[in-house]
Amino acid sequence: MSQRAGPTEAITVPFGPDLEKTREELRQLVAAGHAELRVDLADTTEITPSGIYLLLAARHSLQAKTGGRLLLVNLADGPRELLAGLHLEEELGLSV
Amino acid sequence: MAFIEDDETLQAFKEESREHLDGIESDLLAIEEGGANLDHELVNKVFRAMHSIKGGAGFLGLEAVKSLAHAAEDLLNKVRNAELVPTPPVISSLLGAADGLNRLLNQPKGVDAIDIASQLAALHAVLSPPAASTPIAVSPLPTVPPPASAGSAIVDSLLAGHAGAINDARLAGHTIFVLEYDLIHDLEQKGINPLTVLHDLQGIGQMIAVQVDDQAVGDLETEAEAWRLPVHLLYSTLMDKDMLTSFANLPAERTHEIPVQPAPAESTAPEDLAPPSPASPPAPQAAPPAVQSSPPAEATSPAQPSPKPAVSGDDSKAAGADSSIRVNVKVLDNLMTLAGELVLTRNQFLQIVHARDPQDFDTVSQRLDLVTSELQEAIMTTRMQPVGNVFNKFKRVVRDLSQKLGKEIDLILEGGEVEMDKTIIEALTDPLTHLVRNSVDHGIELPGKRKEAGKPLTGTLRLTAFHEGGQVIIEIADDGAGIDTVRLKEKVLSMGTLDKAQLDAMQEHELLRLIFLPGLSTAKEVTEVSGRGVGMDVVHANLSKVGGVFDIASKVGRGTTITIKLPLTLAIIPSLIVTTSGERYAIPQVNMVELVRVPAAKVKDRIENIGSALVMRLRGELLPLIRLDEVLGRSERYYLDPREQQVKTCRRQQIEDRRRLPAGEGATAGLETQGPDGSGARSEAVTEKREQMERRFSPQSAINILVVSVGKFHYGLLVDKLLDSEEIVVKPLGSHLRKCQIYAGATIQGDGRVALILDVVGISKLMNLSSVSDRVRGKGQQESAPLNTDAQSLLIVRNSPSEQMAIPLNLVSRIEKISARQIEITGGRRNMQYRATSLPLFTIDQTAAVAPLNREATHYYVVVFPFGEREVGVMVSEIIDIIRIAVEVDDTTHKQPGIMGSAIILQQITMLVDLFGIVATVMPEWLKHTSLATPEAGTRMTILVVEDSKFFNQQICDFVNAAGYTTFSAMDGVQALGVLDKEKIDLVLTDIEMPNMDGLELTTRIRGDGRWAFLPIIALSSVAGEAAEKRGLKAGVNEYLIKLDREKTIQTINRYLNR
Repeated sequence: MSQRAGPTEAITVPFGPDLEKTREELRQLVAAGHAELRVDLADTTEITPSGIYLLLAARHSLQAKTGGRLLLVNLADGPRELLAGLHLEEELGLSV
Repeated sequence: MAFIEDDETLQAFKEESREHLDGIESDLLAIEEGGANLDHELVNKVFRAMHSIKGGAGFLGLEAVKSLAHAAEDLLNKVRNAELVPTPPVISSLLGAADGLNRLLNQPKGVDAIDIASQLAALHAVLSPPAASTPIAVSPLPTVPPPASAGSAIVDSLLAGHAGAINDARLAGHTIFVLEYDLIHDLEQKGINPLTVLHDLQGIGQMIAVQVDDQAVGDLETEAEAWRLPVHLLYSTLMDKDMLTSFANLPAERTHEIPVQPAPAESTAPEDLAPPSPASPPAPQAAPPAVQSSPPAEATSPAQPSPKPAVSGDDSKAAGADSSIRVNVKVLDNLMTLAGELVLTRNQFLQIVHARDPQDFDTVSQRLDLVTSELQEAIMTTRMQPVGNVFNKFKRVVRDLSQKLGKEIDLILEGGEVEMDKTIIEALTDPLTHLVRNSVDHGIELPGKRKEAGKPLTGTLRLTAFHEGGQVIIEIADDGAGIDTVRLKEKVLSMGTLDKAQLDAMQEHELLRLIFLPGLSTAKEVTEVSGRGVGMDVVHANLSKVGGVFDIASKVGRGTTITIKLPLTLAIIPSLIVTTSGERYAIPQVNMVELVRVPAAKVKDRIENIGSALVMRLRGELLPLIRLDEVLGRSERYYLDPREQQVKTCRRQQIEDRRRLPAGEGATAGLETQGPDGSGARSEAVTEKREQMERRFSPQSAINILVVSVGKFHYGLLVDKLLDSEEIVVKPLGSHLRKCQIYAGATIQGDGRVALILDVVGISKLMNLSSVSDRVRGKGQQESAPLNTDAQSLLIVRNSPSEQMAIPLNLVSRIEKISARQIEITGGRRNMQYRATSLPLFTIDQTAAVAPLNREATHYYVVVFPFGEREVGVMVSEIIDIIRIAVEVDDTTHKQPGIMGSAIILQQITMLVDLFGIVATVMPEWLKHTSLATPEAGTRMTILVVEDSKFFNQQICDFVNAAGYTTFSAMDGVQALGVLDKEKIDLVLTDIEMPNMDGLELTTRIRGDGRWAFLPIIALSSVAGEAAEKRGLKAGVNEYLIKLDREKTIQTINRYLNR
């Protein structure tokens, strides 16, 4: 996937470690009508169940608001392993 | 309560209930679509169906079925009375109930062996919520429901989806559990890493499935305190429940043991269900199949078992829904009548045999023929089912999937009434489901994306079935994103299945077919969601098994259409019977496009040899040809000698005999006696005197070609004779022949002989066929043609407009344009004055059967090249072009003195001119008279040429010979070592890339042997570049030169050999 980004199209958001802050950021981006959210997990070496909850919740909000999609980028081995263990890789769009 | 143990009644009930359920699904979806605008008739219909199932189940004592149907009936009653709007959650619970009933009915043993608590709970949740009577739209994201009821639907789907794995685990002595975690509260907040728990569990048991309850997750508005992340683990282990509970860090109430027998340990059926009582029996109604035995009946019909409605399969106990089939009574009556006719005919036959009266024989034969055909037809109709039976299943698939993916999709079904054989319909279900899912999942874009692309937000998926040419065509068309062949190519390239040249040579439709490549499943790069093409190879294989042929058309941004052509039936197929090498074969007409008969005299015009492949020009297209006898490995070929009317062994290698008709063309008449070294193909007939009635021109030598199709790709199959077209009965091949991919089965013919049925797809695979058009598309494409040949510069020349020739440019010193007046004839030979000497002139047609030089022309071109120590010229009429290409040289078909072979260049068969050969043939004495070429034993230096391409080997030998050296040639390193062992070699010229032993290894070996440690080795390669040169020098070559750089090669040889 090319790294194209436009103001109302795809936008990349850094993830964590403050989940409440990330939630707020995601909430604002969804409200702004972005169709594609790319959550950048470059700095996330381990993800908690709450973190996963936040990703799923963001996807719900995004779908309800714009019908858009959520992509995870720069996924490290730790988070990837847990998402795979929970069979969530297909649920959450992964972009390598 | 099960006072009826009658298996037949139970089977009848199951079959009928399944039909009800089949109908219910599509009806429920229609009700959902209607929303508040209730279609009362439809709701009544579903209500009656549930009521019938409930009644029958009660009668037969099937408690679980009864209670589930009862609950569904209650809910439908509320919908009917407008107390409840059929919102998606309501319909989902009803669909869930229908699913549960289906599973119950498909149980091979007792029908109560499945836990239906979850479906019941779902129904009751909808039936009695706090505000159930207020018709409000239920939010698709329920807010944090209590764990037990939220999870039960998931538990159910987990159990249903992994029945096989559960069984396997039980067989291994494992107990099955469903562990219900809330990852946030049970683990995270207690500081436990979920991965550790997963790993620990996997260490002492088997994780069958994991399901996160996505529905329990809210959205970004949900405050952190309310966050829950429920996960269900379907898990098998040897531990008991107590041990597992403590091990898994989980409260006992959320560790559910899944019992083997019906009585569920954790959750039993609710008590509010009416006690079992004899109720009305099942009544057939509105069954979807086209054939239906009785009219719809009201559910409260008198209590008496309905007649067994089906022509039962051989195993009435089989669990599957497809072991029996409903047949219209009229069809049965017709069958009975025909059976009666058959008996009558048999009696007549017996009478004839008894009376030995041959006169009546014909009449009875005709009658038998008629009755048999009608009987066959009637029986086939019992097997025919409407495609709609499969199509209707997709409403649910598309609904569920599009809801899950957040897409809006309009499913349009057309041609559901088209009928096909039951076997094909069954085989079709799974592959079609897969294709539909693929279209929904990967084809149609999310609404946001569609909006951007200027498409309607709602995507369209269209399934169409129709008849065409005795086949059924099924199209699955979406208006989604289409398949991006560029990405597809990248993916295939990265998989290493095909190389770039192969991919570049592919046409669009061939590229699209790459999605059927095995292993193209996890193509995340292609689709970014999950593997597009998951199991597409399996889809392809399964459909091919029932004779399905695929085509794909796709436009990026516009959508994809997959077309499947299927035979109507598999048991009896119309076929053409052909013979080859004396054996009969059947070819299904489905695969045939047309028959082409090429008269003997036209063969040379229409059939050509490209590389080693035969092709035919058919209406401007090149059609690859395959000889059936070659496919079958029959080395002996026969033909009927037209003069002697005898069958003789055919020794002819080339079918496209390039020789001309004996009469009329004076210019070539004499040629056929030339060429003492003519190849095998020529020599057969060259010495024979030509007659008009000879084999090449006899009508019996006409060539029969069956043009067959593999999808959009066509090829021609050469057979000896075409016999009849027949309807053949397909018999499967024995297991020992199953692996022969060229046969699809066998059939027994009227005379008792067996004919094998050919599989045209298998044959094309076996022969590695590809569309020829790619190979001859043009100059641009040609340069990327086969990698195993070496590129070189060619001078394209012509003597006549129809015949193209090529001269290797690096053999040429100069090209001169001369006026016809400059040519002088001295001593019967052409010469011209040239740079103060006399330049001998030759023409190609002096030695080769090619069009002669245009004698009327005022100007000619002279190709000047060195021959020994002198220069000579070859005249041609026209210079067309100089091109650098890689060609595959056919060095047999056109080989003759002066022509070293042929190749396809610029879409034309082009003869490669052997300049050296022309002069050597016309003036053999020059070879002796050149001082270089007078070998005095021991004085002439010897060079070993090692090169795997015959063409290049010949070229190199020629110019090295011309420079006054004796050459030995070897085709690879192994042969070269053999020559070195036997002969005294002064220098080695070697190619690098060769089979068996390449040039580098050869060099290493030579250097490693004391005898040849100082032997000069010159590497000739088409691979230029420093790295390649370094490798060569490292291995021990003295010089690294570019192949066919004639001057430099000779200079270098001279330098090393001190000349």
